[in-house]
Amino acid sequence: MDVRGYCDGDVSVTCGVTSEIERVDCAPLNQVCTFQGDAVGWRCAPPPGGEARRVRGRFLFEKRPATANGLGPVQQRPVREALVYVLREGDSATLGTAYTQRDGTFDLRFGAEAGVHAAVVVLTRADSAGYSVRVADCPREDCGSDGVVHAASSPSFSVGTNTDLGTLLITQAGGAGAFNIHDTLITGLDFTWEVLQRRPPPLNAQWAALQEPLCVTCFRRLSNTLFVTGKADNPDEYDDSVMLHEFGHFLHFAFSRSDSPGGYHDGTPTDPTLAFTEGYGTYVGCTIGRSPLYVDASPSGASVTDISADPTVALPDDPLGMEQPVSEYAVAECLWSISHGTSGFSALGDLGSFDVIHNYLPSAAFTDRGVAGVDFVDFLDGWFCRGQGQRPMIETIVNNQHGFPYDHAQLPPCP
Amino acid sequence: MTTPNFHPARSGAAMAVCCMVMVAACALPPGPVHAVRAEAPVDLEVTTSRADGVVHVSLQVRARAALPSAMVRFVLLEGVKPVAGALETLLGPLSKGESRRVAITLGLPAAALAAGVDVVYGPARKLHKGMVVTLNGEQPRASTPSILILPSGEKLRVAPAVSLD
Repeated sequence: MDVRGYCDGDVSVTCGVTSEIERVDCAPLNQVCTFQGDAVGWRCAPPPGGEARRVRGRFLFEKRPATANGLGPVQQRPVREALVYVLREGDSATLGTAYTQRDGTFDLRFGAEAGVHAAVVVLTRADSAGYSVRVADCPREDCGSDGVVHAASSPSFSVGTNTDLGTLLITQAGGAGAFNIHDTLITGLDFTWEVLQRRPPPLNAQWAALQEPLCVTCFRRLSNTLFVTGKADNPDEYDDSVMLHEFGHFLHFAFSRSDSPGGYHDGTPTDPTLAFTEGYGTYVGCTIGRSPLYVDASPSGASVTDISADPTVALPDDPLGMEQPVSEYAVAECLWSISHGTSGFSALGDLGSFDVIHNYLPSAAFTDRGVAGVDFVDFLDGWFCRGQGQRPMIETIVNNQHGFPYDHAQLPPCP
Repeated sequence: MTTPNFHPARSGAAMAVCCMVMVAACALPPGPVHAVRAEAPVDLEVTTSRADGVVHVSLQVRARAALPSAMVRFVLLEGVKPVAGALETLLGPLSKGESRRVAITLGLPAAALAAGVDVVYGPARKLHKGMVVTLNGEQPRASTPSILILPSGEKLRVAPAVSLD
């Protein structure tokens, strides 16, 4: 069921990919808005047993924005689209559930007897039909399980008919890094719905402060899991562009085709299938983040790559021609330039590139040129096969600016 | 005000189970790994010494490749200022294998500082490598987890949120 929604107080709000927003006020029905599982979504329902209770508030988390000079000053950001529980003190029974709104607010209606004490707990998890995300604490895969979901708790309170907990801040010491990972993935999932118009499959992330995954920061396709390093000298939990690069791999594997063998890469010319997958990851990550800067910050500075400047030039006369090793930066820069324009050519937007990547490459129309497997040559073939055109612009960006000897005269037949 | 019924996983039995699982689950699962890490090609080494109420910090930078231009940066805790030496030092170009040493002196026993090197390759690319240095001998440690187990069996790693009101 491709529905996502939320409770706006007593009003259930639901929307599908193509449907209109539907709002239903539960209060006149003497009901409350609750999440009733993926199959049903957000609907009106009678309040659970006990007297009608309400608790509301707002969760914020501390964010250190990654800048070209390192991690910036602490900011406060709302916890978005995160699962919230009201838990009874003593036995931790769940009295009510909801999701935080875009501004971090939550508003829970539940039933409870008088005198009950409870706490509101917000999780780095979402299980709604629109967002299926889980950020857990086992980056080194040594837990014997999928790890434990990060969470933050309000102080205990005595439940009343209308309790306002005010604003609750999740600090860096209190696991705010996990909430920034959750927030970054929500941004990526919004992009998936709104731009790609696709339903994203469930996505996992693993992170713990000061711990380094065996692969540092990476994406594993078999488990759809993003591993994020928390190592003290170069943590990535606030490096949104690094995580969105990995999110790009998630999109690539979910909706396209990759033949990359994976492994180490540093921007120098490499296996064209690896370069294409990594270049696409950087391009789509920067597109989601709305910045051409790929920033990997640390406590003492940052590594910065600008994919909108200084083209990485290939070897036009390489005897391997279109099968020569390719830099992932050249791929990212070309994709960025096609979308955002270059000297003398207007921006074409991202939809043409996404059409090729998500509709042509995984299709039966795909014809393999260049090296075996999906590479940048195949993307360009698909560009023309899908009727995106703009050959003068493509020649300028690919052949002239980046020196890549793409052969426009030998386009494969396009079924 | 108290928090709900949390169950910190601190017992010796829990630790033993954890370590057995660690051994059994050590192998990587199959499948491609798509890692990304771009660091400046330098080796960093820090030495510290205390004398006369100050702390001397010396960072050695060794280039693993020819570098067009490198700059050293120290980042101190808020309120800590160096007694001698600059927080940023331009090293200029380094040849492969060349080493340079940069020192600062701190007047306060800061618990930690960060040190790093920027290598600028042009307007579109800068690579950085950094390290965190502890001056009091203690390594950074993660906070002890509070594991909350719900009746459903679901486990949560819970930290307290701070009320701003």
